[in-house]
Amino acid sequence: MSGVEIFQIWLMAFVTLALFSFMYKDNPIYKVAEHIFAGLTAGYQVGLVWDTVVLQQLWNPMLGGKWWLFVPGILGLLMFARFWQKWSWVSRVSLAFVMGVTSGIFITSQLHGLVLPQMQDTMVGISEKVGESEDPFGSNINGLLITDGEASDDVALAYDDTASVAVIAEPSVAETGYPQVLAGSTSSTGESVNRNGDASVLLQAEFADTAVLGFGEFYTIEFEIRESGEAQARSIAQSTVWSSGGISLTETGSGTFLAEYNYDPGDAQEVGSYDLQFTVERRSIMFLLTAIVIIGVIATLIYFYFSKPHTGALGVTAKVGIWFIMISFGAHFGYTVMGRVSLLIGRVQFLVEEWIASFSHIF
Amino acid sequence: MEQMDRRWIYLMVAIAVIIPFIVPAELPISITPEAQAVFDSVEAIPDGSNVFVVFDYYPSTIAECEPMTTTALRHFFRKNCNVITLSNIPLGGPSMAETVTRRVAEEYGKVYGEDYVNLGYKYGYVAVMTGMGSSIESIFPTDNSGTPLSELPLMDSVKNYDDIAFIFEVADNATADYWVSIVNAQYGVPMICGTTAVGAPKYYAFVASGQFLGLLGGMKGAAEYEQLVGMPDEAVRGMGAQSLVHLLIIALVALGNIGYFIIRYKQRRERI
Repeated sequence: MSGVEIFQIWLMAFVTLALFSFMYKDNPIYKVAEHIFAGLTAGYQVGLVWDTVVLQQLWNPMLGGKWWLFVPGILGLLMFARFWQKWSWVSRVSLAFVMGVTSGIFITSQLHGLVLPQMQDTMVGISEKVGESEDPFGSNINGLLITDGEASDDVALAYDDTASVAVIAEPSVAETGYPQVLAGSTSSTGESVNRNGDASVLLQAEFADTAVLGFGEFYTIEFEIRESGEAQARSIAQSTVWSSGGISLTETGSGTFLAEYNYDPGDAQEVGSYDLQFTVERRSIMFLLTAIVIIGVIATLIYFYFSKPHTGALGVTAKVGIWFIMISFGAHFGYTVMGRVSLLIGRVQFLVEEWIASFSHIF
Repeated sequence: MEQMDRRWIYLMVAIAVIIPFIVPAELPISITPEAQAVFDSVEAIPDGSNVFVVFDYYPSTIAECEPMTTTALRHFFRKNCNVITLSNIPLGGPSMAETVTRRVAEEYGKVYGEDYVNLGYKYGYVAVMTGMGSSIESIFPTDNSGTPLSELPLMDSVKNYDDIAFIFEVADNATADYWVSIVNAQYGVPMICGTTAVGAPKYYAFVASGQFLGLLGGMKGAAEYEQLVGMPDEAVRGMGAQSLVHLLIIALVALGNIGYFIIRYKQRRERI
């Protein structure tokens, strides 16, 4: 440790202890440290702004040919007119410019970056999507082929019941912790499928999930059959575990699941080849949190609504709002205590690990 | 209790802070989802990306913020990311960025100008953040030492936010709000925030809305991040003292309330 380093450490230790001495009572050593800090701060800031703004951003570029920068330069100089009462109005020109620019930047950024995203997040759904199988539309599976021999309602439709199995998700998807679709297939439950829906098609899909479902988490599963070759995919059938006659889900062991759905084409089916798509999402129930957010936001806003007296229902809601505000203050206070203690720890850490350690280099 | 000189409390807190440094106690540090998200977000950045590490804190909050920037730099250098540091804080920001980055860069054998650059400080953070969207060089013609950016090889490939993959903002003030509302919202650069414990409650809302990918709150957040990166350092060492002081404060708050209720009970009985 060099002599300069030791001097720096001792100077820092002296100023730290001088400021801590205020906790006992106000004293001249504390005053000295406080005034040194105030003076040093002002001087340092002036020097820094002179170098990084006046020289770097104004003077040097002007000398380099950007002569038009004299306009903001003069606007800046006009601010000093405030020192003379007779001419202080001139500074309003610069202030007007500053206010205009600042308002323009702030209105956009605050609305776009703070108000809208935060409002949007307040309007959350009752469940939160925590995982989704990726690229479920990536591959075509010609698993379901419905052909129409005759354009008549009574004619049975030939059905290709050859089960088609294909992996429709990238193997790497599992590593990200999302449900991974392993395979999808179709098979008919009858020998034929007719327009009146006498028989149905069994849609099957297998998926694996490396994550164990946590408390309040569940899967939503969706089968879709889409017309092949369509640039704009058009959904023919859609089902989730929540819809009527929904998907059945069976755990086949070691984190793999089989989802099945009986698709009844009914009389709305169309001729052609179709692709099977299977999407699985891991979601968590957010009923409670959502309710707290909704009640908290409304009650707190009502507390700050002063156009009507806080009586009756309005008064009760405002009181609920106060509770939310108080809980928020509590959280802030707890964190503030933690923060202040951390700062003390930092200084004590310096005194113990650096200042006291430097004793061995001196003595 | 009411008549107790507050200096006794100062003394008790001082003792509670000093003891763990003399007799270290290793207490378990649980990892919060927000800190885990910070680690995962940085891990997800492709190796060799250009990243911003922003030193938006004053020297007074070094205890909370410096462990975050130190660990972030270690994490980025370990991934061979190119680090660009800057500060919107005039007092100490640019010099702390210089000192901390050079110290950590030496650990990883990184070369200034090629692997990392310190842009320093520029007055007016709103104008700075907005201006860097079109050209970083127009806002910072030189680095912190006065070297023109055109002479730094790393800055050849970094012209504006399009070339920045990630922002690691460490702040003890409201500048994080502007990084979110100006840079993240308008230019779409993903970011996380490390902040002091005082500021942390406010920023949880930004994590919930997805504007911050993760959050480190105070020394506890820094200690969690150090653990996740696998390099326990100052914050982890400080957590022993933090826990002891918290226990002391909880005990004092409980004692104060018990004393208050006892006095109120006695006063009521006297009135009867």
